[in-house]
Amino acid sequence: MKNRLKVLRAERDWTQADLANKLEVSRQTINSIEKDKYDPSLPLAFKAARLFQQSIESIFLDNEA
Amino acid sequence: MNKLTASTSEKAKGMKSLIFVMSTFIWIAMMVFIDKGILYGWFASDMQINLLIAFDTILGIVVIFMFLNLLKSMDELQRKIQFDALAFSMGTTFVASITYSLLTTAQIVRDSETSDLILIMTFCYMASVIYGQVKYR
Repeated sequence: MKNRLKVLRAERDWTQADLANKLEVSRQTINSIEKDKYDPSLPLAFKAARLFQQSIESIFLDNEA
Repeated sequence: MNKLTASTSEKAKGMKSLIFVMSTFIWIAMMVFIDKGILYGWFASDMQINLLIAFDTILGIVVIFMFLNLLKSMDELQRKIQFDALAFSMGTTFVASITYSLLTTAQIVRDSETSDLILIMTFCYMASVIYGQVKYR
């Protein structure tokens, strides 16, 4: 699953560690999500959507859509 | 403030991991000590042996709960790495124990040792955790 996490983070001038702190996960998790190595759980995706004030679908893009 | 909270949480997690590793080490060291003690007659009475075995078993149970507690404190990716490692090590040990049992029945292997299986399980678990950490680095 592709995502726009890196772009949204860069727009706010946040580091991976900043975003990790805000989402209460490890920096390793943010890095893996940004590199499309790991798909976040639904609660984490909702948390990211709330943080960026966007819908989940606009942050996480379905490959098969 | 948020950074401070996260840093404190990381420190607490690190401390939990350290205590878990130390407890596991003490548990294994004690198990080896009891095993060798019985083998070489280091203990004065059966009562002493029974008490040590009981203490080691209780410590083992405490280690299980510490591991569960450690899993709860991890985030979802770290937990996935741990679960993948546990699944891999359990599957490998299961297959190895059946193969070992067949080899013993066929008398190709004479003395079957449970410690060999524990060694395989430990190696597979550690290798899988390292693989997960490298993969999701």
